[in-house]
Amino acid sequence: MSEQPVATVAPTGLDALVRRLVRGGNRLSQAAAALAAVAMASLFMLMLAEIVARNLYSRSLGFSWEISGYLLGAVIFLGSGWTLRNGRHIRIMLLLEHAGPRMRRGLDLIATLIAVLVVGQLIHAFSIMTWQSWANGVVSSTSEQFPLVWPRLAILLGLVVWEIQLLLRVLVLCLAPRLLNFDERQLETMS
Amino acid sequence: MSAILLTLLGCILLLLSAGVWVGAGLAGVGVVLLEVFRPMMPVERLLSQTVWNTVTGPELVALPLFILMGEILFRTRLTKLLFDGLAPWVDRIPGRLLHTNILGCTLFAAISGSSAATTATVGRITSSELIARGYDARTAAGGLAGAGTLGFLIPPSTIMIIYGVLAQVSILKMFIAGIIPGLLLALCFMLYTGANAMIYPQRLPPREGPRPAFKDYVRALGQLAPVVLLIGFVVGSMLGGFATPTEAGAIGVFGALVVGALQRCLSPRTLWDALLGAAQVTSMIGLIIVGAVFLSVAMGFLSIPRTISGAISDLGLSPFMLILLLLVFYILLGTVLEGMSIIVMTLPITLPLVIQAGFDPIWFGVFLILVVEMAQITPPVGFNLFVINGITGLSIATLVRAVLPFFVIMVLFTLGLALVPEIVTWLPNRLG
Amino acid sequence: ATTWTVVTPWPESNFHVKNLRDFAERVEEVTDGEVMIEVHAGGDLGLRGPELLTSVRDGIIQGADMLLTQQVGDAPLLGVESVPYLTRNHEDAALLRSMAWPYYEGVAAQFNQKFLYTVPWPGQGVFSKRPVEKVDDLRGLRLRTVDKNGTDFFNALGASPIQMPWGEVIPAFASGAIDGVATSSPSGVDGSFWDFAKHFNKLDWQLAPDVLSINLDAWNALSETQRAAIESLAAERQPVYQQSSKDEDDSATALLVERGIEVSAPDEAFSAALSEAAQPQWQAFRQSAGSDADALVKAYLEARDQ
Ligand code: NA
Ligand code: NA
Repeated sequence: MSEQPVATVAPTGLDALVRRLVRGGNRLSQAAAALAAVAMASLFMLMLAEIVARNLYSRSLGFSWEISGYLLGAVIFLGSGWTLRNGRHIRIMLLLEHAGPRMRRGLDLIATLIAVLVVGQLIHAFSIMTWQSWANGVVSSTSEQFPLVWPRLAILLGLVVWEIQLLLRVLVLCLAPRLLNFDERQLETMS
Repeated sequence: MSAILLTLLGCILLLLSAGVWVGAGLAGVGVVLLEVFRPMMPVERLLSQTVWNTVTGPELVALPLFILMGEILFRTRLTKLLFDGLAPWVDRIPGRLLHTNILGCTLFAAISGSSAATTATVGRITSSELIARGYDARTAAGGLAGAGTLGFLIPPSTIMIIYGVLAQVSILKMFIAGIIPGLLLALCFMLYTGANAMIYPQRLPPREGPRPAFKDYVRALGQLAPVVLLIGFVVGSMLGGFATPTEAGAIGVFGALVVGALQRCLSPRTLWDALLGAAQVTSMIGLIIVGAVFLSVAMGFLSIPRTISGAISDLGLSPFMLILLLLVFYILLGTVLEGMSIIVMTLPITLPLVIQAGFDPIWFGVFLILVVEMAQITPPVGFNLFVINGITGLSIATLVRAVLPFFVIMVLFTLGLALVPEIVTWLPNRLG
Repeated sequence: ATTWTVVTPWPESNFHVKNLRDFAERVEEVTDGEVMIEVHAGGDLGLRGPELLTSVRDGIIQGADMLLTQQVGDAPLLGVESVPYLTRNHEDAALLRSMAWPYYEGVAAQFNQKFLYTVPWPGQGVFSKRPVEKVDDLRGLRLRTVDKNGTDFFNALGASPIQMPWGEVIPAFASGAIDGVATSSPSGVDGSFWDFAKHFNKLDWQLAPDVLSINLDAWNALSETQRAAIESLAAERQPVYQQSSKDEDDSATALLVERGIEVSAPDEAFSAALSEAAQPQWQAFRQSAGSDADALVKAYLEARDQ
C-alpha cells in the first residue's frame, strides 16, 4: 500500500474535479453527522427529563420513549455517511489487506458497488414507506399520535447522504484511485 | 432446505470477504435469499418495516446512551485514575492490569443490559490505556471481547427479559439466576488471563519500581473512588426506583458529565467531539444490528431455524446428549444470527424438548444467554468482534484468534452447568 | 396446496396463539389439506404489532392475528371498543362488538384484507402495591399505561399515568419506580406480577380485541368452496374462542390469587366515578375518529340505553 500523501500529487484537471466533488460530499456528510450529534444530545436530555419529571413531579412526559426511538433511528442513519467516510463502518479486510494494489482496487470497487445496490434498495424501500406515511397521514398508534412521515424522512435523508458518499467512493476508485491510496483512518485528522 | 443453506453461507462468505461493509452485506444477503426463495414477496416493504422497527424500538435506546457515557469518560482523567488505582491491587496477580478489562466489564455489566454497550464502553476506556502502558494489544483485546459478553449474563439484561416473557418464567428469578454464573465465568476468565500471563510474560510490560507499599494501597483506594461512586450512582438509581434499566444509561451520561466537570476536562469542544464520536459508533453498531436482524427475519421466513430444531426433536436423545447437540446447534446458528433472533425463532421447539428432558426453564434461560454470548464472539457475524475492530483497528482475523480461548472457556463452562445445574438454580430457588 | 404465513406478536403460550393454531389445523381439515396456515408467534419475523394492518395489506404476510388498538394510527375507527368504560359489562361488550363488526369489515376492505373472527383480551384492571378500592386510592399513584385512552382516563381520575416500554415495566415495578400497572390478568401472569404487587382491581375499564385478518389477494385466490368452508368455520369457532378469553381470565385470576394477589372488583360508587371520568374521551373519540365512528357510537349508545 502506497503511503504517498495526497498533497504531493500534482492535480490534473480530472483530479481537481474529483477533489471538488469529494470535498462537497464530505461537507454534506459532516452536516448530516452534526444533525446526528444534535439528535444524540436530544435523546440524552429527553431521557433525563423523563427521569426528573417522574421522580420530582410524579408525571411522565409521555412522549420521551417514542421520540427517543425516532432520534436513535436518526442518529444511526444521519451519522452513516460521515462514519463511512472516516473508515469507521466495519468491513472484513482480510482479502483487501493481502491483495496487490490492482486486485485491491478491483475488490474495493466491487464491494462498494454492492453496497451502492443495497443502500439503493434501502432508499427505494424507505421512499415508499415515507411517501405512504405522508399520503395517508399515518400517525403512531401511541398516545402521541406522532406523524410518522418526519422521522422516516430523517432516515431517508441519512440514507441518501450515505449513498452519495458511496457513489463518490466509486468515482474516486475509478478515476482517481490515488486519492484513496492511504489508510482511510488517517482521513479523520484531515478536513 | 440444503439449497437455501448453501446459498446463505455462500452469499455471506462472498460478500463479507470481498469487503462489503458488514451491515450492508448482511441486509443484502437477506434480500437475495428472499428474492430467490420467496419470489412473490414484496421484499422492499419487509425491508423498510424491519429496519424501522429495529432502529426505533425501545430495546436499543440504552445503547447510544452507554456509548455516549464511554465517549465522555474517555475524555476525562477517570481512565488514568482507574488504572493507577487498580495497579497496586493487581500487582501480585499474574496478568496485572490485563484484569482491568474483565473487572471493568463485570462491574459495567451490572449497569448495562447489553453486551455491545458493555464492550464498547469498557473498551473505549481501557484499550488505548493498556496499549500505552505496554500490554500486548491482542491479548488485551481477547480479554475484552470475552468479558464484554458478560453484559447479558449479569443483570440487568435485555435478553433475559425477552426470555422470561417467552418462556413464562419470572424475570426477577432469571436476573437472580444470572448472578452466580456471571461471577464464576468472570473468575474463569481471570484465571485463564493469569495463567496465560505466566506462560507468556513477554505479553506484559516489564514491572517498574518497587513492590507497592501500604500507603500505595491507601492512595489507590482514593483513586478508585470516582469509578466506584459513578457505578454505585447508576446501580443505586436503578435499585432505588429512580430509573429503569434504559434510563440508567441517561443517569450514566449525567454521572460522566459530573465527573468531567469536577475534573475540569470538559470544554464545549470536547463535548461536541464526544457527541460526534458517539454518533459514529452508534451508527456503526446500529447498521450491523439492522443487517443482522433483517437476515434473521429472512431466515425466519424461510423457516430455517425451525426446520433444524424440529429435526433435533425427532432424534429422541438422552438429556445430556440433547444439551450437547443443542449447544452445537446454537453455536452454529450463532455464527450468522443475532442473539435475540436466535432465542425467539427456536424457543417454541427447543424449550419443550429441554423441559421434557428434565431441565428447569430458568436453567435453560441461562444456557441460552450463554450461547447468545458465544454468538457475540464467533465469526463471521460477531458483534463484539466488530465493536473491538472499530475501537482498536485490530483485524477480525486477529481478534478471532485472540478470543478463541475465551470461547473455549465458555463452551466448557456451559457443559459444566449442564452437569451441575444447581450452580444456576440454587440462588433463585433459595430467594424465590 | 396454498400456504399462508400468519403472524401474531403474542408468545406461544398465549390463548390467542392456541386459538390460532386450532384454527389453522381446522382450516387444513375443511379444505382437505389444500390451505395450510403457517403460524409464526412471538414476533419471530420481526413484526411486532402496530404495523400488522399494513403488513397484511402489502402482502408481506398473508395474515395476522392483531390487536386492534395497535392499528389506530392507520385506522382510528378500530379503537372504538377500547374507548374507556364505553362498555360496562359483558352484555355491553357483546352488543358493541356485533354493532362494530360491519364497520370493521369496511375498514378491512379499505386495507385490502378480510377479518375472519374477533376475540377480545380479558378486560383491563390495575395491579398495584397498595389496594385501589376507591377513586381516592388512585390519587398520585404512578401507574403504567399503554395508550392515550389509558393516560387520559387515569389522569382524569387523579392518578399519575407513566409511559414506559413493557421491557422496562418489570424492573421498574420491582424497584418501585412505578406503583402500579394497568393491564389484563394474563399479562399479569406473563410478568409474574406477584413478585411485585399485592393487589389487582379488575376495573374492566377497557376492552382490547384481537382479529384474525387475511390479505384479500390471498383470500380471492382460493376457490369459492374453500372460501365458504373457511368462512363458516370462522363463524362456528368464534364463540368458542371468545369463551376461551373468559376462561383464560378466570384461570389467570385464579393463578394470581393462588400466588398471593388480592383480587377485587369496583363497587357501585367507584364504577360511577369511572363512567364520569370517561365522558370527555367518548366525546374526543367521536370527534376525532371520523364520521363512521361517530355514527357507530351514537347507534350503540341508543341501543344500549333502550
Ligand atoms: Na447486564
Ligand atoms: Na457470531
